[in-house]
Amino acid sequence: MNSNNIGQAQFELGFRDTLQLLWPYVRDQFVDQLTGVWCIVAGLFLFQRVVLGLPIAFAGMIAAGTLVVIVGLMFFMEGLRLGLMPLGERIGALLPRKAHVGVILMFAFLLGIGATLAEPAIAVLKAAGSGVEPRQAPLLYLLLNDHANQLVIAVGLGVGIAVTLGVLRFLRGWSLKVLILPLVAALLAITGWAASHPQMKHLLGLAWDCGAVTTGPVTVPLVLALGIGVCRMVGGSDNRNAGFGIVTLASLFPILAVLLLGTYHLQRGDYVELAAAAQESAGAQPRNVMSSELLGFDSVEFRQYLQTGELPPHSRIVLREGKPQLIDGRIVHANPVIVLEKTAPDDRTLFAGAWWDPQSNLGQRLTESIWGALRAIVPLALFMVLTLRVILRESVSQADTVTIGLGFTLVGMLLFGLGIQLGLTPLGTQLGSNVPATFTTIAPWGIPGTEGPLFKYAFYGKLLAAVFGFFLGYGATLAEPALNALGNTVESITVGAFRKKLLMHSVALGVGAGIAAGVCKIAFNLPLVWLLVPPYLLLLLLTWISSEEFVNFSWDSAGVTTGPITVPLVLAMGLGIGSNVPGVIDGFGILALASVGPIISVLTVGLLVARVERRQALLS
Amino acid sequence: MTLFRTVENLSSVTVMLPASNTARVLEEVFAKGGHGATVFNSRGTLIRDHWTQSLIPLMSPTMRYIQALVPDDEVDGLIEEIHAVAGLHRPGSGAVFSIPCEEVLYSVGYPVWNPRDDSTTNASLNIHENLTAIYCITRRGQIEAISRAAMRAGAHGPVMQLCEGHGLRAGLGWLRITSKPDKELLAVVVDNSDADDVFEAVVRAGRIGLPGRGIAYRLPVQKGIVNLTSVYGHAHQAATLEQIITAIDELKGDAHWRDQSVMELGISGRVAGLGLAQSKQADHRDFVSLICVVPREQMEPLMAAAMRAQAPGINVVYGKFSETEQAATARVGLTRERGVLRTIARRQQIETLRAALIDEAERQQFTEVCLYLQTVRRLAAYIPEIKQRDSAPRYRGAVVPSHNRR
Repeated sequence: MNSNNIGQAQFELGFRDTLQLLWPYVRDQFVDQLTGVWCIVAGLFLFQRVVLGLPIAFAGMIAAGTLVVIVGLMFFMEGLRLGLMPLGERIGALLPRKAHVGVILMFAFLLGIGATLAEPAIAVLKAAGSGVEPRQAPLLYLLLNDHANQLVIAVGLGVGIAVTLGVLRFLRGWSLKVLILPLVAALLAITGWAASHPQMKHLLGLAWDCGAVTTGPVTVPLVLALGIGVCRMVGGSDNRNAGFGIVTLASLFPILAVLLLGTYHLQRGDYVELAAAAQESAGAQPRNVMSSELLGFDSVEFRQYLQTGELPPHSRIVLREGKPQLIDGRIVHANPVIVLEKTAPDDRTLFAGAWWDPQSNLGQRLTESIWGALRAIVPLALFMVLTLRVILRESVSQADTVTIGLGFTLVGMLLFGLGIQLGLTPLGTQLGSNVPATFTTIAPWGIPGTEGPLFKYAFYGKLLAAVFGFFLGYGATLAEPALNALGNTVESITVGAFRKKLLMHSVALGVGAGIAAGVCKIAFNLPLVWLLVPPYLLLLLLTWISSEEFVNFSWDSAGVTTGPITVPLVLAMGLGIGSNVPGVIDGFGILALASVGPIISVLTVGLLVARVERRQALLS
Repeated sequence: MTLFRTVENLSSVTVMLPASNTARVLEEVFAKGGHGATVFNSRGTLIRDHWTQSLIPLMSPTMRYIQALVPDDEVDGLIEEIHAVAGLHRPGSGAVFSIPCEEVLYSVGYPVWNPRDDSTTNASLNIHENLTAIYCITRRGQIEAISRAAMRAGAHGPVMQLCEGHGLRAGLGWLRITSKPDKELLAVVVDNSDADDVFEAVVRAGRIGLPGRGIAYRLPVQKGIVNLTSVYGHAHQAATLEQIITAIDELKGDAHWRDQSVMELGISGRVAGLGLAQSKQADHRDFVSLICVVPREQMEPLMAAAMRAQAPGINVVYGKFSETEQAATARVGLTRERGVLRTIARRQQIETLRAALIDEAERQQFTEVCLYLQTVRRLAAYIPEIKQRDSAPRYRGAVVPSHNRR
């Protein structure tokens, strides 16, 4: 008799009954995820179609991809609920009872490193640095290309140390404030120093983005569950902040780790020869890919023009040089150079181009997603089950549902990865590269023709791009699975008092504002340090006056927000805008700003709520 | 039954307090000889009395729900003590009430409050004896609507907890992934005169009684003081209702003016259209609630045992066991968690359930188990009746409906 299961199979169900049970369950899960995702997809679609007036390329692939993302999220969230979260919580609750402090900390350290290596988002960062030239920022180029492994290991070590420290904090009952305030102050000091250094200043964007990216949908629920488990056992009478704080530390330490790694290579000076080598081969690489794709007539059309003497279709006449004069009420343009330019065909439809990207290579994408999912889930699951069986000598309770849950997580991760590649990334990339159309002339992504600036003054166009960035951030955040998991946890810990909806929307507001600021940073080519340091100084103040509980929620939600949905969308936009603004060398920094925003917004909400609670306390 | 002892004359005393007050109250109670209580996190009600407030982020106040088993003789003293320490005469300051327990069985390691020497049984005027506790358990996310309905029907602010619930689906094998165990528990204490209305409002708002919607039941309260938050003030009002009540309290010198004097008019009352008496069909006197308290880590086998014994539904709340400082420091620094398992069924089924739980506890040699029964006054739930074949009279193969039978 298996006493671990709740109840034995008491009913014999036919196929029909099984379907009747499964259908409402699947429907509810689907609707849940749909409500999260539709907002961002519809927003992107409308912006492209209505504001920019551009058709959507590869619409069929994007629709299919979005559907796959929704199904993937559905499996993933259910998998978390049934598999990873119960495992993590059980281990967290058993560790303090059965294991030595050293073992617990060792476990936390390994978990941190393992979870980071499993996170898919780090690979994305390399894409953000793809436009970096070794000539301009050799140190950044070196870290991103020659020493990419060191970078990942540094981040992993950072997360490992952070998780260890976070668990130690629970065991010793330290306040999160006490840890955050000096850490952030130190980070700001280093940032201030780095900003004045000609090489290090290029690293700042990467470092702060690394912090934002590391804590993704696998790490967060695990680390939260572990923390909740530990806190349940060791926490005092007040456990309203139980389990939080690790995510925060896990997004601060990697910043430090990356900056230290940069300093190490700065000391070694191995970037100098790279810079020298790059100087030699300093060919005029066309950095602006978009403008090189501007439309032009080809030789066939030219020959046809020579033969017939007729203007080719979709062309316009531009007069260059010469001298326009007003003579007898007529404008006479003397001695002009007449240029024929090709224009985009006007018959723009809702969907242009192919329905499916011919280069999408579905088979390869699928294998990649399968490997990614296996790499993310299997080692972690094995590690946890082994810890439970070997170190703690306990059986896995509810083994069958946990197994189903792990299976769901795997399938969910796989579909999620695939869907993002098929749906959200193409949509985000085309929109991201089209956003600069608000302030400059570009060749739209995947569509022939050019698209001019929407406004006469680039300033307004850039503002519109920032507004778009806000909505993109808002919508993408609501769809993030890790934030969803955090919202559930916050709701349970506060016994339902702090609603998941309230948390998600305040976080989304902050992310939106942060991304808008990030767009401004790139569009106006502002130095990151000026956008980063004042908000963090404000944060230090807010953190100082806020209650411990809200400090925990808000800092954690900041680490959580930038996950697999936001990152590709935001990076695509950052790169798109960056490549159209002279002087911008990388698309970094938006993510860093996107994680300052939610801390401020949630802390502000917390202060508002505290006001209400204080009034209530006065009453009774 | 070697491990278990039987006690009579115990009551379960429940205290609902704002979180900020709890530690102090518990300290005082333990200082006077209490032996430990289980503390559950819960949240109070938040009323938005103006539509603009739904735009402002507000959080329900954090509360604690504390439970302890206390000998009957001590109940009055304890309630008085808590009343004094927590200042329960002030509106919105909390509630304390006792519900009598039947057939308490506990194993050797379970701390039961021993009778104290100086126990005083001076029933004070503050203590009310005409109260009813209403509980409702539903899926997550529905409890707010139910609590609002209850308050509209005249209840004080209900106190909500998150809990875990398992029902018929637990026996479905792997298909039990389709049931989410996250449930919410609402507890509210009302005057007997309001109990029917509030109960009906709760049942209607939660559509309790349809399959898979949850359960609502009433327990008779022996004694209690209730002063839970009912209405939150608005910034534009000069004074909140609670401030007004406090002011009148001070003017009158006591809180007796707040007592509603309700006469049980019985049939004549209903004829007169007063509807004060309890409705008739409501008494499910043969339903009993079985409650089982164990350390959290031992809960799972017991849940499994209950489900194997065909419990119609079980509900588990986890809390922290709080005890006197000396006892706590004598132990290792880890928190002791308690789980409270509740199930409601007909009396004869409860007997088998209890036997199954006791068997399991003895088999696993659990030493900190306590089981007791509480009579349910009224119940609303979807109860799948186990049909016995051929027991019902049939007419041409169809079952004759019961109201047509002679």
